[in-house]
Amino acid sequence: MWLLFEKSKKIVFALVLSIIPLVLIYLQNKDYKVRTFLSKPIVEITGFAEGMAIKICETVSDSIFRHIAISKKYDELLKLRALSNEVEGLTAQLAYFQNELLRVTNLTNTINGPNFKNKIYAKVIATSGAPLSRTVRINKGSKEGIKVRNAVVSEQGAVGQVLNVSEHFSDVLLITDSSSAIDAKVLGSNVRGLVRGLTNNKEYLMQMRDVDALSDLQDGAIVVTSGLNSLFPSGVPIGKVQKVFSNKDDLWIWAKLVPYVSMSRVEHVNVLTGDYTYKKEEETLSQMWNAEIR
Amino acid sequence: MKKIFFCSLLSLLFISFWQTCSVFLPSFLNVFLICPVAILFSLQFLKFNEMLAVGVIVGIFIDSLSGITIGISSIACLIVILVLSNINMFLMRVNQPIFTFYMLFISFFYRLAFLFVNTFLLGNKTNFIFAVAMLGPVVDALIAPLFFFVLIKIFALFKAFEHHDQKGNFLA
Repeated sequence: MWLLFEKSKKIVFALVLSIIPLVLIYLQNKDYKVRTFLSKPIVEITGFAEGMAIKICETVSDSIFRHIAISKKYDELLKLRALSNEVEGLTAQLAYFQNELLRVTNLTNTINGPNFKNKIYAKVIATSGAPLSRTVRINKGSKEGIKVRNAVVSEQGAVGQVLNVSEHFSDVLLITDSSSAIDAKVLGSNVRGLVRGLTNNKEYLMQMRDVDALSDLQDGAIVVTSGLNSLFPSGVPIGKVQKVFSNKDDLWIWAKLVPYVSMSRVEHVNVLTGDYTYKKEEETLSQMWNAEIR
Repeated sequence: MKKIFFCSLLSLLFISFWQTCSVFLPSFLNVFLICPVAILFSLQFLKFNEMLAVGVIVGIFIDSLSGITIGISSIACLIVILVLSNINMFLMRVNQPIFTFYMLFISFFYRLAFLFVNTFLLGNKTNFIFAVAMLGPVVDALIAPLFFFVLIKIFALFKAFEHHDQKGNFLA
């Protein structure tokens, strides 16, 4: 008997253990309150553990969601920054184009008198000469009717004269170059002289030489084209007197002029292709330039 | 006793944690059962008497937390343990693919045993959801290695392994 028990130990133990759940099932079927009594401590322990676990899970999920939200906000911020930079660039571009439009409008408005019938609008595409430019290249040539020695002006004043012409492009010698010479006069007086370029390494300059010492030439005087012996019409502003110097013999004086046109920034020009001569309308034009300059 | 205690306690904590996670998980993943995992662990690391004790205790825990009559899961565990403990292959330590297969088989067998006990022994009307029966073993097989890993670490920490247990050979 004992041997049989030894061999069937497992089954006996299993049967003994299986009595426990069977008894529990029987008791619960009789009175369901037994279930509540049995499960209460287990639910208490697991409830406590589950409470802690859910707090941890909520903290982790909140952190993840916050991180995602921040990442999304950060991505949004980067996109907005990129857009803002783009807008800034476009605004700067717009300002530039508006400025260009104003300059071109000024150019067409100022050179619109009866004397300036034959004019060709051109854009400066290149400069040459170092360190300061001597010539500029424009994008119009003989095909448009430009010839050598045609006067070139901008909305600010005289720029130069056409030096070389090809079919589609032209080179313009700036008035500040030493090989340039224009007959000029001082606005509001009879003082006349020849304006030559005096460009050094630092700035664009001109000089008006051999002026009578008795003439009333002072610093700040406005020098305009006289319209004589050149293809420039009269009254086109050239520059302002920076300083007046006298010769050793005190018979003659000469003046250093600063050009009105910013030679380093000239972009839009008109090439005057007509044959301009001195006319009475010069007085009206001079008054027009005066009003604009002042 | 130490083994029974740690196995039962960790099963209870595991079930608590899983029930918390099921709040965040999609409902189709809420098919995990701790009993088959505990059965496989006890088949591999515990003696026969300890296996039965763990089966009964874990079954009582599961029934208490699931809202069904306490004792059904215990009987199902006992049936599974009695049948599988006589098959030597489940008593051996195995590698990962075979372990997964064992887990799938035991989980499916346990669910069938539970259905049998619930329907035929107790006469309750139950629904057998085929999708749950198919997906459940897969989820059990995925989570079982974590349970095993933690329990083995606890056993090692509290020196619950006996001389003949070779914990280093687990999932060789």
